[in-house]
Amino acid sequence: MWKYCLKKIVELAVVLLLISFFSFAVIYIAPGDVSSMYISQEMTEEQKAAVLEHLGMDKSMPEQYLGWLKQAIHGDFGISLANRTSVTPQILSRLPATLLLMGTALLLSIVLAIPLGLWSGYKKNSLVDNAISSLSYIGMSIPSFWLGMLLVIVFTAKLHLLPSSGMNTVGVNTPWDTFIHMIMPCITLSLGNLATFIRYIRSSTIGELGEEYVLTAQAKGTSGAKILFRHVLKNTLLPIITLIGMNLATLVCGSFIIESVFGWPGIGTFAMEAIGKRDYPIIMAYVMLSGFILVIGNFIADMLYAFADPRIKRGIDSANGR
Amino acid sequence: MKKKTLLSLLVVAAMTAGLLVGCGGSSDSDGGSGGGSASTESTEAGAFTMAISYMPDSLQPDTASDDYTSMVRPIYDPLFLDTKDGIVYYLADSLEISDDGLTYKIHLNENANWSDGEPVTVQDILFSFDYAGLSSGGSSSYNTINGQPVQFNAVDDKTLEITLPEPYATYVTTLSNRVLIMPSHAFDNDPTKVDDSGYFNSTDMATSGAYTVSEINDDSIVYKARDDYYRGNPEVETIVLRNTGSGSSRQVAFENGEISYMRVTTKEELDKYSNSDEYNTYSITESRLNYLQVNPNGPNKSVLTDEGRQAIFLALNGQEIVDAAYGSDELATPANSLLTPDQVDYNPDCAGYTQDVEKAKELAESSGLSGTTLTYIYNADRANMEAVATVIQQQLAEIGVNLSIEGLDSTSFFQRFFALTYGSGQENTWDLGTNGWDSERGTSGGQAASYLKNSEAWGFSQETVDLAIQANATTDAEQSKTLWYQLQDQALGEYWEYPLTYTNYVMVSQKNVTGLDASPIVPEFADWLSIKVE
Repeated sequence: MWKYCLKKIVELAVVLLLISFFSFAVIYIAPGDVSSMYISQEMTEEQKAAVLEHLGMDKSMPEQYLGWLKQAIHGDFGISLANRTSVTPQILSRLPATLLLMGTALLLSIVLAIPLGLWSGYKKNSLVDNAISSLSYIGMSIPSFWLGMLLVIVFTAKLHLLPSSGMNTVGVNTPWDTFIHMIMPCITLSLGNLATFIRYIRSSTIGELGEEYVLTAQAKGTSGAKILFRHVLKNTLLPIITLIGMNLATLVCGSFIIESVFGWPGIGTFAMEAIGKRDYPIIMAYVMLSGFILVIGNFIADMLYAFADPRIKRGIDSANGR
Repeated sequence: MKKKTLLSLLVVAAMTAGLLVGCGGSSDSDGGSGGGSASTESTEAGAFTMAISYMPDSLQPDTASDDYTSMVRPIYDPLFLDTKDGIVYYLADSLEISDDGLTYKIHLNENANWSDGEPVTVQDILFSFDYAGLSSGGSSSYNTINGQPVQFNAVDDKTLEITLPEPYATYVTTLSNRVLIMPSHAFDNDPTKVDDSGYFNSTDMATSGAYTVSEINDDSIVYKARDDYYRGNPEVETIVLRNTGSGSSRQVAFENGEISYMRVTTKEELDKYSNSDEYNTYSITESRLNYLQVNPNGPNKSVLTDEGRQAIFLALNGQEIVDAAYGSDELATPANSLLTPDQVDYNPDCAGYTQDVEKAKELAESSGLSGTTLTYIYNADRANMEAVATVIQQQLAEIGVNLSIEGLDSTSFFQRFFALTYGSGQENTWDLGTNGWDSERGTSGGQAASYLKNSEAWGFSQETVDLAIQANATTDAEQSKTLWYQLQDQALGEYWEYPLTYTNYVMVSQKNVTGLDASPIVPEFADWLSIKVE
């Protein structure tokens, strides 16, 4: 098992290195750079060259990349070229807002998806299943920015029930106020995930219900709900673990669209600004963070598989010759 | 156990039902009264709420972008503003320019002070110029003109004498529009201490404007009125900058009373709000010229000869472009010159271009332009530019010229349009492009002067270049006017830049908000003493 972990960690480092190289290359190739903020028509060639040198943009792409990598390995993501402030504290200051929104949305979708998915699978092809499935398809098909705008129009413009955007009313820093502001972005974000999760859990439940241990439980006279929650649920955990692992990156790196629709002061809007300005230290830090969390998410999911399903652990151990 | 399971199922069902009901709307009556918990954040009395589309990383005095300049205007005053009605003084109370145009003497207002009690001094100006130089590798538009250094001499704490290497009328614009000065005492007069100091991220920062920073929240910033502001006491006690999301979200926030005003850029929005009793409408000149540039270095430069360019300009109809792209003369009017009506040397009788489709067709044929496909680029981050591109495409189709239109974000656009300036090597990737010059007001020729002097990038003849240099070096008002009148006609006669529109900055505010047009300056607002919230 430890050998397996070590192998995964080495893979993880290689993947991160590749991510960093390719994202740096993409930013380098993208048209435009941050020098346009500092260069004007009035400048002479020497002055323009001095600006480029000052920004470190006179160097070749490999030189710039290696310079960045050297610093990044030491945990220093450099200084923003646009606002000349350290990147790391800027990202960290925006992280809690994104974590709160995304975490709540993910939790909401999981909490709702588990019972609905189980129920839908249990009542396969019944009216309930069809209704839940139809809702899932609708949930998966609705574009989130459209749903977000629709909610804003209904609940803010028409009904005046909820604030249109932001995270807090100015001067009111209570949890209740944040909750009110979170309702619409949370619903918008969780609906898509909820629909996907329900579909996965449903299909997994249907598979599990055909297993012999369910037949045994039924023969013993165990109630439907008990079979579902005590026996089947445990065995449908695998797809849920995969899904959470995959969603961990979105949890931290936020949603560009929803944050801009709802003016949520998270990391998504921050990265969007940086992309507009081609502020590569911020973009790189953002990409590395999302890449890191995605890879870590998958790594954790792999590890959890082994705990959720002992057969996998035995498989790994026997593959390692134990 | 069974009961517990049942209970949890019930809770889940109730939550789901709540969610679904939430999505399906409600039959509650309009107004939200009795909603209790749910808050409608109306503009609170005495507070002025501005919408911002992103949270700034710091509140350092800077004029890099229009949005950002607007955000920091309440807390930092300019030295002075160059307007079409003359110079309006803020931190400075006089500007004397010597007859030879080489010496500028700025005197600071004796009462001008920072919010921490320190006086605003010449040292602050020099410190800010040093910092600007530091940020751009040594030289900046403040300390260098045409590659030669500008000399600064602190006569006393409140008087600065600046000596230019050559007469350069645009320097007034440089000093008035771009300069926001920093408190040098906060950094022990060492500009290298500014970056990464965190000073401009804290509510303790010293400000020179009418307000101080009271709160920096996750999604909002609050400014409070100063009681020791040198120009008097502002009526509005609190200014709130609120992150409101983009596009339609902002419109909803405005209609919901969450923000005090917003800009409108389409006729539909303008009609909707100006026809309502609930809002005030303000229109101020943006001092902006939007123009169409023919690229002398583009892929089709062989057919964009004198005749070819003339064919393009004669095919265009400025009024039709305004009607179709803006829909109302309140939002924009056709331009007749490369200067704006807010510049003192603007010639209202400059003939501009008049559409003549028949002649344009003949010229397009004879120049070989007919049947060619030209690459047209525009800045998609600017209001109405896409619509302008579409109208121009249709008008040029009439003379058999096809346009391949590319909308670009600001950064990509500037690297292509100003390819020679940035050395991006993309000068041969476009034939036609639209751009705009902002803050074109006051005594100097502004950006027109620097473009007309650059024949390599913008195509003008040596004769025009010489005239532009002469006009920009003149300090005599009468002579300046004569030269600029001549230059306006001469430049148009060369068919490189087609003046498209003079745009207005139209804002709508809540009914209780007044005085937004008292200081007609874009980015808004310069004079905070005139704004009131009833």
